[in-house]
Amino acid sequence: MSATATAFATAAAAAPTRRRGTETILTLLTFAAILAIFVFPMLWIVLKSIQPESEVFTNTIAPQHFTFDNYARAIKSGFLGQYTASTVILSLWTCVFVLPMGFLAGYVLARFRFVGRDVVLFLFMFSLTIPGLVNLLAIYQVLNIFRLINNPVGLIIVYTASNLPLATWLSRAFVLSIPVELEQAGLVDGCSRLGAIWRIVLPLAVPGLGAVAVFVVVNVFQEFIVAQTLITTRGVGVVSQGLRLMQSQYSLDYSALAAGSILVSVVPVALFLILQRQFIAGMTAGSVTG
Amino acid sequence: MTDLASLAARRSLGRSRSGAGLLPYLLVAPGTLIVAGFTILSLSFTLCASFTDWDIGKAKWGLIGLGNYLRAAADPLLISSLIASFVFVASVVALSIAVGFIIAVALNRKFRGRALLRGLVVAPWVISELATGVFWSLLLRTDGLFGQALGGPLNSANGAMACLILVEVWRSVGFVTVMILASLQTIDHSLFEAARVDGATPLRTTWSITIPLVSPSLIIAAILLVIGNFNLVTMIIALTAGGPISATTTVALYMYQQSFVYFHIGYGASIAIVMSVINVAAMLIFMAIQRNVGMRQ
Repeated sequence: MSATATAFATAAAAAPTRRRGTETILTLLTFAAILAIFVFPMLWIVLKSIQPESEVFTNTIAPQHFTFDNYARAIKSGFLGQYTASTVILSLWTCVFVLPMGFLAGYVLARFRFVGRDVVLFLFMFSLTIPGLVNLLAIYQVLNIFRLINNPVGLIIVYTASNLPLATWLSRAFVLSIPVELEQAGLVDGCSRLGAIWRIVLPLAVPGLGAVAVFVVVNVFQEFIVAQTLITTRGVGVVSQGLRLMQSQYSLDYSALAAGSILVSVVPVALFLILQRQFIAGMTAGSVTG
Repeated sequence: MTDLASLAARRSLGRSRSGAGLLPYLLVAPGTLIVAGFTILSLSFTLCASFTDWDIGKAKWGLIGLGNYLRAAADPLLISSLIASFVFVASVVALSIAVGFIIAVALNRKFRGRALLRGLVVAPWVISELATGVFWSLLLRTDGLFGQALGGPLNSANGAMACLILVEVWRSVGFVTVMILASLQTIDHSLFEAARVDGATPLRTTWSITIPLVSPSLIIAAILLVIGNFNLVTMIIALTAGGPISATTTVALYMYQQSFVYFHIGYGASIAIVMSVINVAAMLIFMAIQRNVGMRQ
């Protein structure tokens, strides 16, 4: 009995140091596992993209032979220059439409109670959750009626509609975080409702709107299937189409394809690294209900 | 005087119905009309088209009632694509949730390099689906790094499906991790302290405290993954193109092929409607589970 008690006391005394030991091991294991699973495959592709074509299948690494030729070939055969310019233009036009509409809708849903509010909230929530693939057939046929197939305007309309729910949802969240007293003070001082939105809420919402803009840009840079379906002109559309073009070529250029998959990921990954916190807030946006 | 005015302002700003008049409707209208137009009109258009034999190969088309749905019920390719979808979605969701949960728990401690690790886990979610599919296809080709080691997994039906599942899990784990981490950080730390003082093992603590408290987030992550993966085509196009033969052709890809490769528009529309029904059913089921979980707490 007393032996057990002593053993217990010793164990309890030893526990903190042992726990610190296990924690260090756990941390190291976490690091090792994450590096092996998530980083190693990407690193390997980066390595393949800077090896000369002749060494790609050798599984040897000769840093003195590293080259950027594969990138040059990727840009040429995948029309990546034109596709990047086209994606930038498409994403900016989408922002021009999505930001004001999303902000105003988000503002109204945050600040007003009105008949039909629940219907509007449900509509945005529903569209945020259900992807657009099932609508693509209808979108294609309707745009076809208006002669908007193979026309970037058609694509901008679709991207505006598909980015509005998230933009509205995020706008609503950051309007809710702005104290309502500021607007009340403005209204008391004789500001109109629209004036209060323009002079008081909008300036405070600029960082949030910036985050929404980044999301829209990243979404457009990640998009593939809608653009691939609606646009067939080479060099017009989104960057992934250039990569797909390279992948479907008759003879597969392994190292150029590796370089191409890195090139089309540069913009989204860079934006993510710069704005990690906003990004993660947006990723969890779908989980905020009510 | 000021107090009265501010009271009036507060009322009009807050919750009144009549005070605001038409303004909220005017401001919310543009966005709502566009979103509603796309969701409702597309769905109605697809529903109408699904009752026709509209086909690019035919000169004229007419109403055929439920013809497309009867054809769908007897189409062995559609049935095998439904099975493929089920296997794919169930495996991806189960594995992503399990792995994402473990990583989130491992990252939910203070140590140097934590933000970096989280960034690395999320990075695959940020790279586009097509780029991910393309570079994994390079790794899994018979002459690629992993493909060599595994003996060309993309050439066999089961191997291709397994690759597709694992690559999609690789992409989705970061999303699950972020969702669960956000929820873990809201748990009061004293709960874990109390459990430890009471002599609970870490496994027991995880099972009895962590999992119940993060289950609402787990459910939301699960529903978004179920619906996202059920409607996924880009990754499949890039990695396996639905093959070998049709081993990795899910319903989403089958619908896409019928509508945009063969232009059997009426038939494609009926599959899109079947998919929409499954999407909405999945959403409703998960919402019901969520309500139950919420009530238990």
